Amino acid sequence: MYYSLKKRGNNVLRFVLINYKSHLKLSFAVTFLVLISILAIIAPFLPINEPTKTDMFNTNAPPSHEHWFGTDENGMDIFSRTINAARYDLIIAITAVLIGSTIGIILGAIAGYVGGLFENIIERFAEMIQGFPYILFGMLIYMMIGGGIAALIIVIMVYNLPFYAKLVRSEIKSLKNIPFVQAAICAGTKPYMIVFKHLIPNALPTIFGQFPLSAASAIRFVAALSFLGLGIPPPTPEWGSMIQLGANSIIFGKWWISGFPGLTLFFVVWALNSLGVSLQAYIKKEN
Amino acid sequence: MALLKIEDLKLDIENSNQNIHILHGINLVINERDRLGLVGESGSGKTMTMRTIVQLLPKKAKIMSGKVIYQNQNLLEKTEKEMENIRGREISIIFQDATSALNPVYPIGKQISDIYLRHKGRDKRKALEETVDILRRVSFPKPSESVKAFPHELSGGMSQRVIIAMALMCSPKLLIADEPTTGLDVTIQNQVIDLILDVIKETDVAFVLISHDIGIVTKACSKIAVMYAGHIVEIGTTRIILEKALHPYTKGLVRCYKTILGKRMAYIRGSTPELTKTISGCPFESRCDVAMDICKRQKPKSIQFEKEHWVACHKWSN
Amino acid sequence: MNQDNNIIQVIDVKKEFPKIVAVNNVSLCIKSNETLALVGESGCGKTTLGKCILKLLKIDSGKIIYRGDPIHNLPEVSFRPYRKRIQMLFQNPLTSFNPFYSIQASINEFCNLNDDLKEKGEIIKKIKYEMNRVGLSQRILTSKPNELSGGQLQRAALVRTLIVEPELVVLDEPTSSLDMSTRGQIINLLQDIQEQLKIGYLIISHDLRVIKTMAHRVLVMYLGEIVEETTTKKLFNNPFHPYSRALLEAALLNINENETKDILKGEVTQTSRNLIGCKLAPRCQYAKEICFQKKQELKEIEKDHFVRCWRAKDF
Repeated sequence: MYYSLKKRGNNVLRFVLINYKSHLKLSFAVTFLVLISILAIIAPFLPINEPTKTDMFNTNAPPSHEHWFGTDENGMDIFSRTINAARYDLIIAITAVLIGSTIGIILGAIAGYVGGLFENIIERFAEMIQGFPYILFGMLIYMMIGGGIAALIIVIMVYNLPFYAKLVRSEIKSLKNIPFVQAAICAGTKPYMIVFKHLIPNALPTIFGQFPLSAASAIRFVAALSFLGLGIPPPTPEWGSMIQLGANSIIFGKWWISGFPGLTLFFVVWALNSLGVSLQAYIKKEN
Repeated sequence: MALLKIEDLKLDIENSNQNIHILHGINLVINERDRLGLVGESGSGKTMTMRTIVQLLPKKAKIMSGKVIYQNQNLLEKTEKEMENIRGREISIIFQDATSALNPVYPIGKQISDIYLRHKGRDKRKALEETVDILRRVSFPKPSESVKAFPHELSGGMSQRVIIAMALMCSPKLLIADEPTTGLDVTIQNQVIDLILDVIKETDVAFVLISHDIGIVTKACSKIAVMYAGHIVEIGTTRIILEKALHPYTKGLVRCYKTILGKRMAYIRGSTPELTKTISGCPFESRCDVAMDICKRQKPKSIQFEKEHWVACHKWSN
Repeated sequence: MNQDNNIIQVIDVKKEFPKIVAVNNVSLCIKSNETLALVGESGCGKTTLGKCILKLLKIDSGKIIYRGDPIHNLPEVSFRPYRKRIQMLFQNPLTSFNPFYSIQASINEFCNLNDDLKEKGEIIKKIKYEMNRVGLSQRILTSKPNELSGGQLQRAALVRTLIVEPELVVLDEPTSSLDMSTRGQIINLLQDIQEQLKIGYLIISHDLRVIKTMAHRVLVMYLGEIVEETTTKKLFNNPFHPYSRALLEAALLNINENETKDILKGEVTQTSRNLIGCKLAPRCQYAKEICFQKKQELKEIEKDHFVRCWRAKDF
């Protein structure tokens, strides 16, 4: 019964299209996101410089005809690196948030419906995980299993899980008393069917607006950790590490090394946040 | 003495696809000291009619034509600021859900006094005096102490009294109650209605009661206007409506209300028409047992059948 | 009480919530082809009792016996076969359907309960038959709940209920959210179905007109207790308990015009719930001292007419 998800998808699309004209900020945010996602996907096929190709004769060069965004201290093309970094940042963030939230939603829904001991256990685990600040948690994992993409995904997943579990659990608790759920019980529907067929689809719309916000957080997290040297190691392009690389050069006037990745990161996070906030407002209005 | 006149009011709600026609030319006269009941079921437009008077319409509502004449002025032409001076002072509305009309953060005394301060002057002491006085008039126990109470400390019936107090604070000329008893227990409903009637007994205020429950309306009102799908189909005294109604819809409604023990429950076949369709004839035609040819083609005009009795029906047009 | 014909017996059932006793030692029984009405205002416990019978809530004490089988303690798995026999029609038809699914899908969900409906062909035939019975066109099967009117949805809910061929249907305020002019349609339909299928109804309502038309017996409840129990005719012609009289008066159905107005003062308060004596005493114009101090039992005041009131004999 994937009616529900399809319908939600249509609504999001319709929402974006209808509001395209009336909300300039939102349309800009969405356009930007779409653009950068497309660029991220086709990046390897673009006729631009290789992101990891060094050029020791052209280090720290300002933006020029050959290197649109300039080069960094290793002579690597910043433009191409910025775009390729999008692949990593976006994919890691979105994948991790999706997996983490899905598991969280399922666990939270079951906890909300079944209650009792199961709910208590989930609650305790959630509290334990949420007790850690995001970055500290990342550092801890780094110390335990090292850095790299897998570690980042794990951290983001684990961090989002309790958040969505709690969000969904409270939704479910209020949905439980709505007559159609009680009708389903009277129909002899098994509990897991009630959770997946009735409760989760009706809880999803209200938490839909959260996804872009979580993605924004996740991207900031990846960038921050990489900035600290704990995330994606160079020479793999990543906005955070690129910013870190160019940090020392700023006082020498070489703004482009940190500047471009920094700006891109800023806009991506801003765009995701705007989308999330608008979605939340739209959903609230619909209700 | 006509206090308020609604002339040929037409109201639509703008939708992305098509307009929803809510009111189709409403004509209504409210006199001083009237006890008028506005009865109708879902989609009748009774609430929208009243909201138009005080200009508290949803954003998408569009007044297509018509006037609301109050004190020789068309209320529909007034600015929002001018309407703010009228609401609460000249014309008050009581809404259905009393508890949500009260701000939970402020004590009830303050909320009532604020209305006085807004319309009648800045003297806080006088405002408090008037507040205690109005609370006494609505039979609120221990009025001088109760001013400090918060809304969540009150029961449903008590909250409703506070709302009534707020509405009558500035001695308005017209009091409109929109389903004030819906959702309340049956035994409390009477208390609320009796209270309103009691408090306004000494005054000149005109009282309009909007309800889908014809029972409450017959109890509280001396005159009843029956609405159907955005039209007023019949107006008469309570007695006329209950015993000598002419319009098939009114007759059907009264029959539904007067159920006989052991007999099958009366009903009107069919259901209310969709408001998006433009109906060229009488809106009730599809459910009417005595419909004639002309009913499909032409809207019936409201004619005065006898003193205090108007009906809009082709059957009685001669 | 004809034991053989009893579908369900509720014996001394109590259901408590934090600080509130919603249902306080209530007993009743329903026969097939009979309608029992639970009447009362908000907080009287009638809806709670209905939900207890459907096992949507767990009772704290007492028994519920279904055709001789005690069902109140059964775990959900063992209770499942009984779900086929006891069904509920909910108050607000719009919220009793999942907004995401079509009417067809919602009806199909109930088909699992009926063992005869294993094949798709059987299911389609049965649905068609029931849609016909309630007067709905096949077209609405593909509609979503928000595309239909209240009356249509209530009928669709009825189809859903009839699919499983129940013996007892709990009707929770079946017409409260419907227009007055269309209530009769649903009520008459329910009565026809009862005649055809000999179903027993437990109708929960505060609308006395509906009770008057449909019910054979009435239980008047106040703050969790039964205060009057009798046939419909006797209740409307000769109510004894002050609360019943106030209800009838309020609904303008009081036959005896000449009597003093039967009105209740004040409202339900938390303290009145916890009174030892009669819970209505603070509001009752006939209350005497004994009413406040001692709790009265349900006593038979005339044949098949039970009242819980110290002053009943004086009326």
